[in-house]
Amino acid sequence: MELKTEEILKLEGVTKLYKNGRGVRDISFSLAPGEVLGLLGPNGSGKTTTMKAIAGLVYPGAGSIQVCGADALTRHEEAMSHIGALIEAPALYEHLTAYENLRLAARFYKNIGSERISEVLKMVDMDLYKNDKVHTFSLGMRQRVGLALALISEPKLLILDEPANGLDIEGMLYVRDVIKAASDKGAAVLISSHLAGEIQQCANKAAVIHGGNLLALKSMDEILASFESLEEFFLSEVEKSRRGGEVS
Amino acid sequence: MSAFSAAYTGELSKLIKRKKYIVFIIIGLVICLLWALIGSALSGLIGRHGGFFISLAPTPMGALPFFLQVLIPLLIFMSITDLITTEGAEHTMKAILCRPVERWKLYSGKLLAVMTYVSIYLACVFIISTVLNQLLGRPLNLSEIFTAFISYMLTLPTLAVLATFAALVALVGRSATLTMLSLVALYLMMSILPIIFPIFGELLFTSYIGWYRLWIGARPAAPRLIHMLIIVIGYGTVFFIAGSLLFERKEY
Repeated sequence: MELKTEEILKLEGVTKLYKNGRGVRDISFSLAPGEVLGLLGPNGSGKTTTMKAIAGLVYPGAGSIQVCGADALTRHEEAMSHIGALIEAPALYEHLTAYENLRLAARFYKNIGSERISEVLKMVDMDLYKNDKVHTFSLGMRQRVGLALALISEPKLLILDEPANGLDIEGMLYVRDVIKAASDKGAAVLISSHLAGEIQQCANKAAVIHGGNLLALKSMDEILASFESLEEFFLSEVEKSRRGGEVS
Repeated sequence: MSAFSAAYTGELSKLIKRKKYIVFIIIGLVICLLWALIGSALSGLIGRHGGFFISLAPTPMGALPFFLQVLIPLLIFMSITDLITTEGAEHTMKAILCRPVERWKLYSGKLLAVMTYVSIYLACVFIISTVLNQLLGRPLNLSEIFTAFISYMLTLPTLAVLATFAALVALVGRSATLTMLSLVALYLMMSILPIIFPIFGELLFTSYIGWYRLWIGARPAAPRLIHMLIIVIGYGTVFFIAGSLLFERKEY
């Protein structure tokens, strides 16, 4: 497989099926620096499984994943050093403070000290609560700390699974700013949501995943040139897939 | 910081920052203190009425079997369950698995963190029981203290095997309570079985937890010591490799 040097992420034929038959089949796409790809699909369509496979939480049965040229399976540490991820609910240790949770993550990277931890906590507006235990936080506050964990290493690939979950309007606007800032700095962003409007606001590419299959992947400009909204594009692709299923 | 040392220090800090592990150390120290106070009161009573002195204060060697057979296995089961089963069930394992660290390094870091905590615990018990014995019981000479110290050190390899066994069970367990109960039940079974069927005494690794007695007492012949070493190392290797492979393939 040829990997262009400018590609941050390349998935080729990734298949991951669980025992219940659900999962994803033959997923292929790539992301270049500055690209923001929104994965759109209903609950259980395979968005999270795709993200988990990239982040090394589940193992694909087939296919390959490369991050900045490093195979995620054989050169795991190198591949992971470029990734920052917030998948499902933020994974936080309840008995530790926000600062201590970030400190745990920071240990795995070179040159990330207390200054960077404070900086990231300030970025997510949690610097006032940095010494508070996580078990005292609201869902929105946890989501902010989760975002800080994803951003701490200034990753080249930012993976955000439903990042607006539990956030208020200000928080959702903030997530958009974070995505834009990361993309402006040259990072690739993979974001999932079941809310088409959310993806339309912050992504420059969108993909529809349904029933574990990647139905379509287009640039936002292409989509909005043919459809009134991303939602319409999504419904049209799902309908097409259903009709295809009925014919076959 | 290398991935392994980052994993190890992270796991250790997670353990130490849980209040229950500090409470566990305090409980150990309180047991030693109560033992010493009750022991010295009884010694005085026997001395006054019986006309002879018998020390009932906890010597480091006297305290060791109690901690080794009861409290420390519980401590190992609890910490392993917290670091493996609970983290899996509460999805916090993801926070570390998304970082640049190979899984076997994380797994080893968890085991080493537990063993570091166990060593700290044993050191606390050794120091407090020695001090209390010197103050309230029959003072030990330097050679006796050194022998006791070696005995404490000798328990670490067999406790490490117990930790690798617990980690293997914790990887299979889905809930912390069930894992803890399973570990206690298995440990009890492995401790009782050799009493009923002596043949198991040779085969089960739990029979070797108190092996320090053999090393420091009237030493058995070299072949017997080698045989014991092979069994302990063998169990440890098998449990560690099986656990590593299971952890490597586990999906979160």
